[in-house]
Amino acid sequence: MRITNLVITHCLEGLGLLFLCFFATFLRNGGTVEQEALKFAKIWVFLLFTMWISASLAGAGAGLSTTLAALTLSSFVASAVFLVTSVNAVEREEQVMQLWKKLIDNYGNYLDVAKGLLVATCLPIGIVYLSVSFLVQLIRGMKFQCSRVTEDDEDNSIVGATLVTAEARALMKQFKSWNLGTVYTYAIYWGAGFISFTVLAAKFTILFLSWLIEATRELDIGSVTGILLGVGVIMFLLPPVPGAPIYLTLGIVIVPVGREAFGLVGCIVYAMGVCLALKLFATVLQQKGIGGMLRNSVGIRQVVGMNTSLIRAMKLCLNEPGLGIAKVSILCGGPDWPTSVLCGLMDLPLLPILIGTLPVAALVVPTVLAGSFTFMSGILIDGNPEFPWAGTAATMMTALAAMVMFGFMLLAAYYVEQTVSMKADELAAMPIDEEVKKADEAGLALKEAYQEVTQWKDIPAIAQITLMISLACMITSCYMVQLFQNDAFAEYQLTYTIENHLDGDWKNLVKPIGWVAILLFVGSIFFLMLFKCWANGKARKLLKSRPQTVEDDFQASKVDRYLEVNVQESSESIELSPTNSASIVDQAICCAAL
Amino acid sequence: MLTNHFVSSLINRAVGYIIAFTKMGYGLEAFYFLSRFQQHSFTLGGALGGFAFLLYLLDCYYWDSKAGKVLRLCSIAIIVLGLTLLVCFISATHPYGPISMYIVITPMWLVMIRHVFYRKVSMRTYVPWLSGPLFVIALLILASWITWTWWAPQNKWVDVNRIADAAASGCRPNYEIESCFNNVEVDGVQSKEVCFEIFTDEFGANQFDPWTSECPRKCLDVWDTCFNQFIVWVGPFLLSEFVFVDSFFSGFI
Repeated sequence: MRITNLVITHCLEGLGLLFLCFFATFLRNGGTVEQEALKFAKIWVFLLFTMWISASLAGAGAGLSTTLAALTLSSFVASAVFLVTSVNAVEREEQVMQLWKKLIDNYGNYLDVAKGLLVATCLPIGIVYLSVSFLVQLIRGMKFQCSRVTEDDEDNSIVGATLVTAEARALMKQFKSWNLGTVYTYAIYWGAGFISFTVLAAKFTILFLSWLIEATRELDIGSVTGILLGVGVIMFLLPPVPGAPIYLTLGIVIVPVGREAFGLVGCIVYAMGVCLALKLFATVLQQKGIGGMLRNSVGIRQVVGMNTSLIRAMKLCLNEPGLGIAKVSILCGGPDWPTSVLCGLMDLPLLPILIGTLPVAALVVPTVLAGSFTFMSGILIDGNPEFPWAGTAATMMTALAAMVMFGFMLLAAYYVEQTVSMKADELAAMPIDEEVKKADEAGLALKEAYQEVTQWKDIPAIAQITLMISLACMITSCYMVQLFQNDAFAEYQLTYTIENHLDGDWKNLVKPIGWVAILLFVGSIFFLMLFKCWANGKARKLLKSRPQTVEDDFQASKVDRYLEVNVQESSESIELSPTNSASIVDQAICCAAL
Repeated sequence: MLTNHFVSSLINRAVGYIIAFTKMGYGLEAFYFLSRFQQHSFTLGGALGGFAFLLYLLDCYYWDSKAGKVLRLCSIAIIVLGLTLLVCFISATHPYGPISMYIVITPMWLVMIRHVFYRKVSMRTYVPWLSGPLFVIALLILASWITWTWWAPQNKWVDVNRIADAAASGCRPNYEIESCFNNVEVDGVQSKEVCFEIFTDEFGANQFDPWTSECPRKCLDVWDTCFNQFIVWVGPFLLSEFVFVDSFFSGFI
């Protein structure tokens, strides 16, 4: 602590000078305005993070993150004031329109996703706004001197329009023009994601890990390693599960068990070794067990995405002799499951692949450390933390692990993109997997039919109500969890035990409000499934009712199979087919995120 | 084109903040003083919220007559002043409030200055002008803070100053660590007091009393939940960094 306290003064002074140094570079004409602004934003984030680390290590105490967030927000507000006052209304409108156009051009495909987020977060606020708008309209109706006079030409086409203000009517009109079926579905997905993170990941994962720590505490290190290896292998064999959570779990669980046997440093190093061995073992299973043995399965080849530009470019890179940087980047930065299975489908020799996977240790080390430090931050002696620095160190390691993972991912994406642009002829000459192509087309046709039947105006009232009930349940659940977090769940930490802190019953983690929120969440998912069942059935009927060609016959038979398999939403993002290089980077990011 | 008077007023404003809310001035005393008003924050916040809601109900954004505009300006001024006061009242629990408020109000103040004194200068010209003076001011603040931290031993961020400042800024220690407190009686009232003391040596530096087994160095942890004193100490640095941002942004426009 003494050392860090001495460091803090110099560190902050250094930061100031560093800031000046970077600021000086902006005075040079080195790029476009957008590039410079982006560079500035990156440096700013870096400075804030460095400051947070140095101040946390210096014992500046809790609340620092809130402070830095508040200051950054204030700075944004200040910048906005400058921006708004510097241009007149017409210019401002023009700039907003230009920005909007740029956004639509670049991210138009994701607009409904963004609208879904807006609905999920702001719908209750929207309802409050409408209520206030009703009040304002009442007051306007009294024709006070100060109230706005309503003009006749304002839109009155909405039912009950006169009840709310003209401004609210304009917003409602805009809202009604959206494809609400899709937007509501995305809003429900956002809510489900939020609940998964705040409840399933944050609460139940901690509960599970604390139980695992408690259950394995009395076991010897060999048995615990065996159990964790078993669980890890099962998780690795599931396509969407990435390696990082598995490494993190091992980092957390092995420390309390192995501390006495190996010492603190020894057991962390041991955990790293186990993680690396686990990754290599899982690679063997995925490559030889799944890719090698199920080579003839269309389903497996389709899940891997054999005909996508990403996978075709990856195939070219992986086919190269030796262990070049491109090959290693893909082995370490590509999505775990599809990459290893692809190696098996291509019948590549195992040993070079395992050697090429070894640099994944760069991800294993910080991730295991993040897990171990997280556990260590919760160890108390006489009410005081045994390792007061561990919380900050855990955050640093988490950030480092994220950076390494992102770095691997970007490297892989870069080399895939290089391959696409440099070896376009070879790529074009590669044979298409016809069976997978037909299966993909069946999936695409069904997806298009689904879009067609879920146009809001064509959806029957009962289905609309089902989707709206699902949305209402999800939003209520999210708000309950967010606003009443302390009343919904008992305080529970990784180092706690169910016996001592939850009176021996894990269900005590959830308080009554929490149960209501979880029930609403389950209800929402149930109603969404009902809606999706209806929509899928309708889409299937629509496809079958269309004029059949020989190819369509094949598709129709595939559609049934597709529905049975019901390829998850996540795999939909993998099977994007645009061939331009930008979308390949997107695909790579999607896959790595999975 | 900006006059010396204008630049000096900018400097005065920054100096005012440094004197009032940072350790280079009377920041610790100010935070201690303001912590006594926290109880009124709820009433003030409610009143301000109610007033803003009333203005919204009465369509204050559409008051276009001359009197209406004046009334709207006055109302906004009342809300901004009220918010500033509210932020000061809650500064014991939210010590970043005053500097956040300073950061937000600075561009508003600069725009107001332009409306009052430089009406003929367009905003397009005026805002980029600000970049230079703001940059110089940020540099001056940073230089003076660095000098100040080396000026005297009590200006450094070390444990003994951290603890002394925590108490001086009105922060409450963590009473859950009971072994680090002594029971004392002040004017017939029982209260708890941290078991260690800090004294000033002949060079003006803060020092701890010798640590004992009953009151070990570990007892410093009772102040771990306080970070007011850090914001007060680092205030000038934060101020300079955010003036840099304003400087960059105004030049960028």
